[in-house]
Amino acid sequence: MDFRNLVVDEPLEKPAAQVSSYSSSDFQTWTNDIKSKASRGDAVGAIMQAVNAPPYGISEPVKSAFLSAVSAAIVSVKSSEIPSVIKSMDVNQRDVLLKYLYWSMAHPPTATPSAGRYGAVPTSASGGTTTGIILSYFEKLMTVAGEGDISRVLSDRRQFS
Amino acid sequence: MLLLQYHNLLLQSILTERLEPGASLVYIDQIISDFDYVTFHVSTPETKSVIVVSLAIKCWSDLVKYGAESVLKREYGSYITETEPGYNFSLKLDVEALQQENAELREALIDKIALLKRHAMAAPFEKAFDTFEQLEKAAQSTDRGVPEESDTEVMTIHYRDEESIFVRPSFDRVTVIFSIIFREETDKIFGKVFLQEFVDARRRAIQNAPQVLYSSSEPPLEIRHVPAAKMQADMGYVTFVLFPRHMTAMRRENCISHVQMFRDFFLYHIKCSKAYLHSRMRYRVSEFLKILNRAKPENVEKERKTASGRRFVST
Amino acid sequence: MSQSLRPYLQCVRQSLGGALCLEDFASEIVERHNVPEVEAQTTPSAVLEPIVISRNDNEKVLIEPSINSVRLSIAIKQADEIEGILVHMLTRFLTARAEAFRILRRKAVDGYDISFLITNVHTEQMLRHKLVDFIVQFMEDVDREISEMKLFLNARARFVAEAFLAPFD
Repeated sequence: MDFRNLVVDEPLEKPAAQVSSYSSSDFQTWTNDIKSKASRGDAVGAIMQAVNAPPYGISEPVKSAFLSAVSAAIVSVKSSEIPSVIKSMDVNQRDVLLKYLYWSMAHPPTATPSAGRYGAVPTSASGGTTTGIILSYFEKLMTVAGEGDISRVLSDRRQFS
Repeated sequence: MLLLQYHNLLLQSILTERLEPGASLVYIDQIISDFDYVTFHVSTPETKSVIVVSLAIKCWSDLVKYGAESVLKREYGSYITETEPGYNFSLKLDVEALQQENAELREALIDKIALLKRHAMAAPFEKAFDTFEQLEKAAQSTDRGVPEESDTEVMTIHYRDEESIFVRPSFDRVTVIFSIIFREETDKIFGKVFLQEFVDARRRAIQNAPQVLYSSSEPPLEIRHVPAAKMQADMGYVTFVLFPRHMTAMRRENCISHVQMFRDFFLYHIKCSKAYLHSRMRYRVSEFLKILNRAKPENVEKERKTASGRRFVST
Repeated sequence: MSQSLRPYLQCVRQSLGGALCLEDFASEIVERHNVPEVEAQTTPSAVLEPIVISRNDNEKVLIEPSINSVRLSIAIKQADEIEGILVHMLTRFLTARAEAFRILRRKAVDGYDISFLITNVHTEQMLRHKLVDFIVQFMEDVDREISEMKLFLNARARFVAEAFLAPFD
């Protein structure tokens, strides 16, 4: 590094987020992939696909659609299957899963017609059921991964937002 | 103190003290405040043996219009005197004569004077109750069902700056409406909770109570044509519907006293609730602080010394 | 404790525990200054990613970590306007006493009811896990306090109304 040319008065920039090596059109196809897998009952497969290719640095409409699909897939897994899903992941995949969980809590699904399976959900309770599932995921993830996982996610520069 | 008293305690105690047999004659000049901007002035203007009690009330002109003077004359008769300047109504008491009076009569008089505000405010209610009786009789004698409603006048008492009482007699009921302004958001919401319970109380526990209605959006139908009943922000209307059983001769006086006190009673209890919640929050905050202080390490390191008494100096 | 409250509080406890890895950090903008980076927001490399933990639309916690400070904001449950005003009363009462609480922020972050700011000084002087305990206990007690206050208000209103109407009988 050439320190003579470094402008010390300029504030440090946020380190550039690492961009996914896949393009946004890839994620568009995967969004549909994940949706169809989840609807076929293969939610576990959908999640495994999602944790292997997180949408870092993807522009807005594609990213949100992808994340919502992942979030829906996560919620649709049976609660008895959750521990085995988490156990089958390696450390990096667990980190990504935790990022998905935090994203889902920050963006609770709005009462769209997709919730029609449960009938009319009252607006005041919207998001209440799904965040309950997210929270139980979180709990089970913590028993396997521990708090270090949280610290890694918080300090990771590769974020969805 | 759950219910507010109808009389003015300070006025009562001053008079009791002064009119006691054997009490010395003293110079008095005291102004006493009561609810709704009412003030009393107790003084001995000429000699120490004559006490003048004066009343100033905001809505005096309204009260006179509805016959307050005759009500007060009936109650106080010969004690009424020339009105003191700046006040609306005055009573003169001869201390020496009253000290000779027998104890029971004297106490009755003192109690009556302590109720001065109540009696002044009672006039429109008495008039309304009388009108109701006439209308009821008329309705029974003519037996033509419901008589014309519009021939009864709505009596308006502007007893505070922006708030009024409306009284409207009818052939089967007397409607008393209070307009109440909530100055604060908290009062408004607390008021709503309280009024909802007033509305429900009749259904739940006290079947014979007057019907209570509450409206925060627009004036009730009965008074919509009255110019004073315009809608303001933060204004709410509370309606009491008094039925014939509340106006029987036996209950009449008590009913008048009680209805009058509604606004004071209501706001008094809102403030009491706030005070209680405040003390509760104070307690809760001290509890939180206790929990937070647990986070402080307990044994702060003591000064260490060597065996010979030298101190360690941190560098 | 209700069934859904426990995982929520547990999640807050663990996330906050993960976020509370603070160290002293001198300002890179001004010489000899040392400010909470999450408040100053002047050194992007020192500010980490904020996270939201939510139980439902009304109850959520925002944790904004940085290298030397963590800001934690709580949205307290408000089911109706009575609870809304009670929460407002209580949080105003608390923030007026922020000096005594040390970690309490005087003003809540937009969209939340109450905020805490924990800096490296606090974690050095106090026990880190006890601070987390405090936050969790606080969240639990505030909810209970609000619902108790509401119950009290209703009970009192009922009692007062009956006391006023009884003499007419």
